[in-house]
Amino acid sequence: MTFPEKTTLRPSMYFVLMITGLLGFDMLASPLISAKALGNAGYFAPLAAAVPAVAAMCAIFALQKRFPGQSWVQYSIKTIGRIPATIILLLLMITWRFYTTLLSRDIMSLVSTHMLIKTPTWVFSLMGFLGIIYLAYHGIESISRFMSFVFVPASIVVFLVALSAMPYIDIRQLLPVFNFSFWDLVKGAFGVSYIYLPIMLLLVMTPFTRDLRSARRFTSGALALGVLGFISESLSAIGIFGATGLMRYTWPTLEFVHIVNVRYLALEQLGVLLLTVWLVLTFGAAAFSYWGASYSLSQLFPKISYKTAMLILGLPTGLILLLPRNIIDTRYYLQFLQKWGTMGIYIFPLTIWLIAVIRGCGKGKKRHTKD
Amino acid sequence: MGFRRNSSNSRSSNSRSGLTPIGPDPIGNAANVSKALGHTADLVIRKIPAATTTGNISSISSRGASSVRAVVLFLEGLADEEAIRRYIIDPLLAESTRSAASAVTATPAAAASGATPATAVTGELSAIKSTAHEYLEPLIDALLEGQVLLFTDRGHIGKAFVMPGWSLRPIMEPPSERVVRGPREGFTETLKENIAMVRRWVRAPELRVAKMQIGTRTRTDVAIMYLEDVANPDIVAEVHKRLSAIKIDSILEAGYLEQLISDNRKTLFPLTQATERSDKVTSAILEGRIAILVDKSASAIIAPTTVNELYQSPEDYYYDFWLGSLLRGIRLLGNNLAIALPGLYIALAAVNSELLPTQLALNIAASRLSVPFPILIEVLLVELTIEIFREAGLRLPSTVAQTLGIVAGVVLGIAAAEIAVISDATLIVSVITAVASFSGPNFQVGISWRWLKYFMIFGGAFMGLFGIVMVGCVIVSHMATLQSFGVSYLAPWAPLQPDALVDAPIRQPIWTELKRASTWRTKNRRRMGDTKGEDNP
Repeated sequence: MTFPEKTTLRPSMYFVLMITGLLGFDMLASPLISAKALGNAGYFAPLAAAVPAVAAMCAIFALQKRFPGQSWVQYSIKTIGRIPATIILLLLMITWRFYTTLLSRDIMSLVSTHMLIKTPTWVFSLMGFLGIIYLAYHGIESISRFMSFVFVPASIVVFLVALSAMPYIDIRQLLPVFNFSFWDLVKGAFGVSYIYLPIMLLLVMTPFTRDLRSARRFTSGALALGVLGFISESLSAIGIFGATGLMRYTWPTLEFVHIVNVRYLALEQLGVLLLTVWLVLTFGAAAFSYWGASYSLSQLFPKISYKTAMLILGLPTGLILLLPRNIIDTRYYLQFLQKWGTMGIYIFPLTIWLIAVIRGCGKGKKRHTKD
Repeated sequence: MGFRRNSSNSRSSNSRSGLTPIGPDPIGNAANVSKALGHTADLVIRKIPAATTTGNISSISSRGASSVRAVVLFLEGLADEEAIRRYIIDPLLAESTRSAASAVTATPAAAASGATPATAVTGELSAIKSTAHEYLEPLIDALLEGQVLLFTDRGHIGKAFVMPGWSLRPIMEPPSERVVRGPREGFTETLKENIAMVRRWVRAPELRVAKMQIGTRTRTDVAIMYLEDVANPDIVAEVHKRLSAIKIDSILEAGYLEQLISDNRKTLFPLTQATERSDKVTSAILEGRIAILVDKSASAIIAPTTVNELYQSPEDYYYDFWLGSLLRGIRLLGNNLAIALPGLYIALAAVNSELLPTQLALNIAASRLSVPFPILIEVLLVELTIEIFREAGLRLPSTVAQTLGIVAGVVLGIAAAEIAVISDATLIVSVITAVASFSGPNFQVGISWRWLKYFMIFGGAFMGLFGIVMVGCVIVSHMATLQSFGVSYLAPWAPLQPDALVDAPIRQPIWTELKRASTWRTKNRRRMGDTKGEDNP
């Protein structure tokens, strides 16, 4: 028996979705990219990287206002026409899906290194993938509830772990503060901006918006908190290892937590506790991302239902995820997509908004009255 | 209250709809009832003969059926025979004698006034709850409910008197929901008593009781109780709708309804809350939820519910904030241990042993040195043995169960450890898990957790900590898909409801509970005045 759902997406759920999506995306690796771009002053990179994300977010808000209650597919078609919109959106979706799948593959390698050395990677990759499909299959409300449920305990653990690493920070490692050029900063922003990609799922969530103004406030709040989190994470990682030392680790955040040993208190190492919590966040974030892609596909091709779209996407996603290691060079594609794919995704809403303004599409267009 | 004379028009119209009108002959009516029940052996028929003009009661056999003035029918064991004799049969006989005696001296006008045993006895019985019917079928229904039927030789009407005579269980404390502090009052198997128990708590005129019958054969009475000015009307309507939609032959326990009205029938989690405690039901009604009480069932159903409600006990609110919070916290810890401890133990001892402090890992390894089984088999062996003991213990007499518990728990445990079938570490983990599984106040959800424990065990055995995380994620994902009458099962955690969240892991101080939790989407959220219960606001 069914009963009409009352707990649909309220603004606070936007907040939880966004912040959990951000933290679960690539939290453990981002300081490495920051340090690569700006050296010891790498903690500026997340701040600089927020600029394109904020610009894209503002463009989405403007589009939401201009095309109330419509999805990104609908207003893209209205703005640039059906065929160009379909081609561009399809390309963006493929990029997004490919990128997030490669990232998941990378995370599975992390699990293999730290938790299950002897188990074949495909076994637990498949288990994780099926779990994600199960959650994504039940739609955005279930995903948001899942994230909401894990958000409070996960945040507490992440905060405590970050706090416990603070005493190990060496201030000298963070100096000099402004030893970079403007172009370094731009390069840094360019390289690190991928960490804010989950914010772009706002594009897909427009039809679920009930209170647009509050949703904007909460989403901006989530982004601000995310920026703060990434800065402090980079500060801690660079402060503990230094920019050069950091280059040795693929997952610097995990490594800096490894040095915090609360021996004989509970577990031998605190890092695994963080990894465990982060995996939960990643699970939610991956389901969110999977839902976003499937939902967009079903909107792009209205004859395909959301659940069919999920199954269609499931096959290539599963194949990429389960491909044997060393067959495809994950790192190479990841780095390529991190730089260029991200920019494409950020530029898209800005472009659509600009075209909509120029062509006067949507609710915000000026009305010509006959005198 | 006299028998109403029914109009021939209404009778004939109902006759067309298949109902049998009551005739003037009480014996004939009784025969029809007996025939409808297949001449069942437990149907008792008492015939009240007419008195002779000398005032003597004649025997029916000597005077024939026409001399029977009234017939009383009831089902043996369901009606109070002593009360029937005292309040129906004796007055009827006395009135019959009186009317016969007065008939000798009465004027023809008085005789024609219709002073019969029937009219006399209905006057005397007016204090007893009764209903009059013109057709046989509703009277047969009443008879099957345990009421007493009376047919007289006057009028096309029959009466049903409520004189219950079945044995009632005394009010006791529910054995599965004991409290140290609080009322020792649990529901019984009688619906009206259960309703009265709630009524005694809530004297507000806004308390509504709606009754219906479910089950074509059992015709079980079901009552829906809620506060009119508080409960969400949509949820009330939904409860009515779901109950009305049930087409089933029998309802033997509230559990039947629980399964039939559930939002998701395939889930392992209870989506309504079952309780035998009247204070728990009352508290739920006052929160704006809806209680469903079922006749012949000591369990009441509360809807909607969330997983948060299932580890709360009314006792939490009878103590102060600190004690209540501590008890709730311990219960929460117990629940989590009951689900995750064996799985975590396997994961840490067998797969991710590098995470354990070295000495602890060595101790566990040493204790398992002579055990011939893999850790998964060892844990399953102990867990399944405990499950069998627990199930057997429920059916045994309490004294034997205690003895068996000692024998099983201590003797068998020590013996198994000594011959190295199981290790000491596994025994410790399993005993903690078994004890922790009883810490929750809801037996039903305890069973769900017990099932989920096995998923954790397998997850931990095959994929260590990662398996535990994944199984945990899938369980939470499943819970995130659940709703109880439109309320998220994970509320107030998901969606985050700060006003209700303060009463979730800890117990909210009672003086701060100014409003009802937003979880239940009540019409009226205010609980306290602005003074917070203080003398000087």
